[in-house]
Parts: sequence; C-alpha cells; structure tokens
Amino acid sequence: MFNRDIVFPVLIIIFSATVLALIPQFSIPSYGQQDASVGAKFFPTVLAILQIIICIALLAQRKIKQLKTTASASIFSKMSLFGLGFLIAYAVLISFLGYLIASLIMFTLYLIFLKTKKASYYLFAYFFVVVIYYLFSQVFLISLPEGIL
Amino acid sequence: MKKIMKNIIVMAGIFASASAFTADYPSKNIRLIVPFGAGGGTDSVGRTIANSTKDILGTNISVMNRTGGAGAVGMSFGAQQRADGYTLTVVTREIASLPQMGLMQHTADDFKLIRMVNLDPAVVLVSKDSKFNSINDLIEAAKTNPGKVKFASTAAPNFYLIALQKDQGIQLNAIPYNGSSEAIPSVLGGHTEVTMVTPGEAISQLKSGQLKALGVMSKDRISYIPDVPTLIEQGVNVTSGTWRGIAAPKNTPDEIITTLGNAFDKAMASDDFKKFMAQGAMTIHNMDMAEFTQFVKDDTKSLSTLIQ
Amino acid sequence: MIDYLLSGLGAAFSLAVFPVLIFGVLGGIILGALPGLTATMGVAILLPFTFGMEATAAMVMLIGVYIGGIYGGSISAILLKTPGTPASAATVLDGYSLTQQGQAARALSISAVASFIGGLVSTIILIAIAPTLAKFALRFNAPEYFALALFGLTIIASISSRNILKGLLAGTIGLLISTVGLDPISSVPRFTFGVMDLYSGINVIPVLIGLFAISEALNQLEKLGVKAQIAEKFSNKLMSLKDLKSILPTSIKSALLGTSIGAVPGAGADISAFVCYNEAKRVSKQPEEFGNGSIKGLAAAESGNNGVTGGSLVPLLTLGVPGDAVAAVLLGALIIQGLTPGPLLFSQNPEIVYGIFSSMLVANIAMLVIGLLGIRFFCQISKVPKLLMIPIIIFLSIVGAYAINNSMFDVGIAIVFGILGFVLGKLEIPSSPILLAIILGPMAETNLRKSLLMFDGSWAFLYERPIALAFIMLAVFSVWSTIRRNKKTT
Repeated sequence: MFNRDIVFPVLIIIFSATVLALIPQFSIPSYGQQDASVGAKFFPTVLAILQIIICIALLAQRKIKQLKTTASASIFSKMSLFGLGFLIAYAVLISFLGYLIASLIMFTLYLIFLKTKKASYYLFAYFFVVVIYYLFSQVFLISLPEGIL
Repeated sequence: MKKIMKNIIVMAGIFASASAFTADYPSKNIRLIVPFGAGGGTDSVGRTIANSTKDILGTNISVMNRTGGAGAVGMSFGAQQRADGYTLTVVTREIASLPQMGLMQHTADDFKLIRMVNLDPAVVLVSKDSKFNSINDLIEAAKTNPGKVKFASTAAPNFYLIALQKDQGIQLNAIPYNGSSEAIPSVLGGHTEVTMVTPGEAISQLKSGQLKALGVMSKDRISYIPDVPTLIEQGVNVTSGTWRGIAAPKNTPDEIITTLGNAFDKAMASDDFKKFMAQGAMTIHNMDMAEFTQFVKDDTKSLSTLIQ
Repeated sequence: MIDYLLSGLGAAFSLAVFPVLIFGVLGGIILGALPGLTATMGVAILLPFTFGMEATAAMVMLIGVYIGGIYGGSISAILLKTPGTPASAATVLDGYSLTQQGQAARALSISAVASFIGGLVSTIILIAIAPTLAKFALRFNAPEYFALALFGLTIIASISSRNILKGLLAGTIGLLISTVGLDPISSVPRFTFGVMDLYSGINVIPVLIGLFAISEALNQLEKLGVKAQIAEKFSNKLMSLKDLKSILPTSIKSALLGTSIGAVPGAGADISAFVCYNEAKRVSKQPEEFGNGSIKGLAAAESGNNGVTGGSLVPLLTLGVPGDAVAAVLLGALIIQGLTPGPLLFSQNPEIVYGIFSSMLVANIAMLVIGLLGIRFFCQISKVPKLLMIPIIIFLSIVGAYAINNSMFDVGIAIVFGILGFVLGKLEIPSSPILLAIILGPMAETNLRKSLLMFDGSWAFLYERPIALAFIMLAVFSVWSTIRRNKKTT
C-alpha cells in the first residue's frame, strides 16, 4: 500500500545507502594538505548511518503508536503542479529573455490561466514588474538576469 | 501580438550586438567579473579599478561577483563569455594553481592577460610576545620539533608555507582557517604561533604592534613596512605572494585589447587608484600583456613543483 | 568619552549626515525585506559610493544599511512567511503564526521594538566594554566554535516539538547537504560529481529562498484552488503596554546573548536568532506557545539578531579583524578613508570611533521610527490579493536567488529546495532544522577536525578548555530539558 509515512522513510533509507556507497569513491588529492584523524569521509558516513537509524525509528514509531495517517489529499494537487511548471518555465524564460520580458510574459500567462478578468490586476502586475526592474537596476545597481538573446 | 513583440525585441538585440564593432568600442556597458565575494580584497581592487577606468573609457563598468570553488567558478565563467570586450575578468593566482590541482578546467591560456594590476608578497607574522624574532628562529624551532609549530593557514593548501617548507626541508602543523580574518585572530589569541598573509591583510595589526613581522617574502623590502627585512636578507632564499590582473576571453580582437590596456594604464596611474591601493597597503604592479603572460607561465611552473 | 559621544550625536543629526543615515536605514530595510538580498550585499554595493564621502558620513550610511538590513528581513518573514535573510528564519516560527491569527500589526510592532532593544543594548555594550568583550572573543578558537555549533544543533530538537524524530531527520538531511563541496580541511571533493558550481558547497541563501519563499508560494497556490476562501482576519491593533512588559526581559537577555555571539568572529545573526529563541523557550513557563504565535519567541529572535550588530563591531574596532562579512566591508571602508581599524583607532581617531557609536544609536532610533510608522504601509502588503502575491513571491525568489551570485545555478538550487520544502511540509517535517543544519554543519565539522589537528589527535580539548566545556554542558542540558518537556506534554 502506498502510505507516505512508510514510503518516505524507505526512500530516505535508500538515499542514505546510496550516499554510503558514494563515500568510498571520494578522490583524495595528491597535493598533501595534512588531515585530522577524523577525515573527509567521517562526517558524511556518520550522518548517513544516523539518517537510516532515524528512519527506522520513524517506521517503528508508526507501528507502535498505530498512528493513523490523516486522510489527506495527494502531495501534488493540480494547482501545485501548475505552480511547479510556472516556476520552471519562468526560470528557463528568464535565462533566455532576461528579467523584464520574462516577468511580463509570465505574469500575463499566469493571470490568463487563472481566468482573471480584472484589468486592475494586470495593471498592478506590470507596475510591480517595472518597479522591481527600476529598483534593482537603477537604485541598488544589482544586476538582474539579462538573458542570452 | 506577443510573438511580434518578442520578435521585435530579439531583432533589436541582434542589431545592438552587431553594431558593437571594434571601431566604436566601447559602445555599451562593460561587465567585470570578480571571482570572489563582495567585500573581499579582490572585490575591492576590482571595484576600484572599474571606478577609475570608467571615465577614461567613457562607459560604465559594472562589477559582477561570481564566487565559488576558490575563484574557479568565476574565472571559468569569464573565459567562456563572448570575446567582444564587454566581459572582462579579474584573474588571480588561482588561475595558475587550480588547474594543476584538477579543480578547474580553464587555464590562463583561455584568456588574453591584458594587465597585471597588483602583486603582493606574503609576510610571516607572529604575535608580539612570540619567542620568534627572526625567520631563522622559526626555522630552527621547526627543525627541532618537526610538525609541532602551529601555523594558521589562510587556505588549504597554502603555497606560501609550502614554498618555505620545501626550501628549508621543514614541516609545520598547518591548520587551515578560512582566510586572513580567521587566521589573524587565531595568532592574536595565542591558539596558533605563526601565519603568512599579505601586508594589506595585516596592516592594522602591524601598525598597532599586535603582530610582529619576521620577514617579507619578496626580493626587495615593501614600502608600507620598510623596517621588515626580506627572507632573502636573512639568508632564506624564498619568495612567494599573490597577484591580480585583468583578462579578456582569448579570442578578443587585438584592437580592443589595446584600447583596454591603455585605459588600465591610465587608471593605474590615476591618483584615486594610487591612493586606494596605498591605504590598503597593496602594491600596484603594472605589467603589460607580454610581461604578464610570461609571468603567469613562470608562476605556473613554480607552483607545479610545489603541488607535486 | 561623553564629549566625543555628544559631538558624535551632534554630527549624526547634522545636515550632512542625517539624510545619509536615513537613506541607509531605509535602503537597508528594503534590501533586507527582499529575499536573497542581504545586508552584506547592500553594504558592499554602497562601498564605492563612500569613496568620495567624508569618513563619518560614509560609516554612518553603511551602518544604517547594516542595521536596517537585519531588521528588514523580518517584515517579510512575519507577513509572508518568506524571511528576507537567514537571520529572520527564526522570526517565521512565531511571527507568521501571529499574522495568521490576524495580528500582523501587533507582530510587526513587537518586531520593531524588540529589534530596537536588541540594537540599542548591544550598542551600549559596545561603547562600554568593547575591549573586554574582544578579549573574550579572542579566546574562541576551533574547540570553542565546535562546541558552540554542537550546542546550536541541539536547538533542532527544540524547534521541532511536534515530532522530534521528524525534526532530527530534517537535521540530518541538512547536515548531509552541508557536506557537499570541497572539504574545507583537505580539499577532497565530496558529492560534487564534477560540477564546479558545487565545489564551494550549497549556498545557504538559495536554500532559504527555496525552503521558505518558494514552498510557501506553492502552498498558497494550492489553497487558491480551493474555492471557498475564508475572509482573512485582520486587526490594526499594535502591541499593548502589557506586551511590552512581557517581552522586555526576554528582549534584553536576547540582546546580551546576541552581542556576545556577534563579538565572536564567524558566528552571526542567523545563529544568534535561533540560540535566543531556544533560550527563551527553555526558560518559558508556556513552551507550548512557542511556534504558535508566542510574542516572547518573536521578541527573542528579533532582539537576538539585531543584538549582533553591536557585537560584530567589537573585533573590528578593537582588533582590526572583521567579525562577519558586513564588518569586512566596513573594514574596507575605514581603510579607504585612510584609517587603521584596531586599537590605534581609539587613540588616533576617537572622533571616528565615537561617531560610529553615536550613529549606531541614531540608526537604531531611525529603524524603530521607520519600522513603527511603516506598519500601516507594510500591512497593505498582506492585503494584496493572494492571487497577485503568489507570482510576486515567485519572481522575487528567482531574482533574489540569481542576484546573490549572478548565477542561474543558484536559481536551480532554490527551485529544488522549494519543491523539497513543499513535499516535506506535506509530510509534516519542519524546514527550519534543515536551514539551521546547513548553517551550523560546516562550522561543527571544520572546527572539530581543526581542533584534532591542533592537539595532535587528542580529544582532551572537549573538557580542558572552559568555554568549550561550558557549551557542551549547555548542549547536554538543552537536550535534556527538551526530553523532559516532551515527556510532560505527552
């Protein structure tokens, strides 16, 4: 059965095991900086093992206390998936078109997707995008993503 | 509608870059990549040279910090930019050391090294109550007790120290700190016995007498600390230090390099820049492209003996 | 000394300096409130503008940005659950709960007042006993930092009260993430997979943006889908006199703690806020209120992070060593002005030292006034329809993640952590332990290994160095009291 209180700890255990498998492959550089008796591998190893123990404890806790998983919706709803897509699309667009154009386009698409008809919302959105542009590039002189085009 | 808008903007962009021919260079803002964080030594040198050069070139130079991997990220990024003279990079000694350590793919060969800006030797420092009074006291102590003298290292590995260790056949207990701002308090607090930093990094402790300089690792004495003898004067033939310069991607047209080189020459000779460097106890060392390129080649070679 | 202070105060109110100071504080607040833009960045960007300024005005402006920046982060933390800087991450715990209860104005006023108390007390301590505090700070080295980090990590148990195991899991995830990059002692690449951007490890700011801002935006978006929107409660009521009385002792204690933490090079406002929060919760008679809108918890975090401002100037002014990144820029600013920070500054340029002191006093007052006057305006932000606020938070997050290092790679990190934070939220695993672990993990590991190098592999430093021992005992005590508290509640 897919129960997130079981699946997640199991996933973390698998992840920790992968980490443990990666640790022996650390390449020690030839140029010798001396190292302590506790070396580069020590901390990650301890942490990965600790993580596995905690996950086992979490699974045990669930068993002992008979914690009921609160009936809950799936982790990703339609809206959060839309949000995710929006995020990634914005990040991609901004690296091509730069901040100003990407933001204007994405804000418009967002409002259209949510079926907003209020003109004031569109105006507010454009106003905000331009104000931030001005604030960053003219007042604080912080470089915004410029895009590669 | 939106598509048309987009196309227009894209076209405008293409025209803008096409018109940026070498003849009317510079026709837009120049970006200077600093591979270290805002507020550090390399950053302030970068920002000051940008400030002094912008009026000479008649265009704005904006500084862009791109940190990571002890400078590797920013310098690699700089090497991969369009070779149109609008993206320049502050290069530091790490461009010679990191590739040899396998920590960076790009090397000095991926750049045209326009000008060296400054060259700072390392100074050997101990706390004011230290039993060491000369570099030979330190070497003596390291010989009688190998690996026992605690050295506050500003980086791992520390090439200043390795140079001394290789030459003298000694071994110190190098404890890596995160830069001079951690290494100096460690010596002040008596947790470690000795450190090596550039004069600018320790000028206030030297002036106030909290730290004592055992020697400077250059051929000649440094004007900011004229009383400190060189290691060579004390019979230890070791020099070491760090340097910074400005570079452009290797395919940048020669005319642009000449324009920039002349501008940097003027900037480095300007009163503002000289004053800034003097107050930070940093030494201006202007080298032209041929000299600088040869210098980096030599330094790469000398570092390779330290790394192996 | 009083003479210098008075003339310094006079200078701070002069026509040449006062506008610069207000500009600095206001700019700092705005920068701090925007995710990704920090006080350090603001100060570094303004540095070249100080080249042409007179020394006092230059320092005043930079200090204004510093003080404003630390405070500004909490405005967005309280209103939007998106801390502007890591120093405000602890503010979210109670500040946002208050906003949800319709008490945003009260929370904002408490935050402004507590920040003011933190800044004021720490400035007074700086003026009064800076050299003594510097001697204390110099006694800190690798063993002490290790013990401090260890103590800090025990706070994870205290900020994950609902299910300690889940909090600990978040902690180990964070610690494991903090090992990514070139190992600071031996330069061994760990989990870098040849990606150069990972060599210096995962930057804490994009993680902060992802875990808090982006995941919160995704959460809000999900709620938008649910049609029946409950009208949000909102009250314009500010804090009461009773509130002030109740937060005063906590605020002063946190200010003192924050000043000491700030005085130690390498430990800053982020650590201080969590330590003070933890301490306030430990001594509280109602620890269960913490995390559900405790005004004491909010005040402790706020006073704790602003308490660092005075402390971090201690090593700078007395030793000439910067205590944190902001102090490093201030050091540069002083040097450019031809001044030598360190013990000589007090004897050679007392007017500068006391000019800095008095401008800190004035900057804190300015912060309080701007903070209180601004509440009405800030509250408008929470009245912006959620529908519009969500893309704004997303845009600011992405731009902020980019601006910190001009890198799309960091944008990617922020998005990944945004998704992680969102999923963890669904699993009721708290995100703040991840952040705390990423801040403290490298500090713990590096300093443990440094200590072992210093003492030739002997572990005796754990009990032979009094300050280290004290922190280790505090750590044990902190764990013990959390366990006891948990037994009581279950």
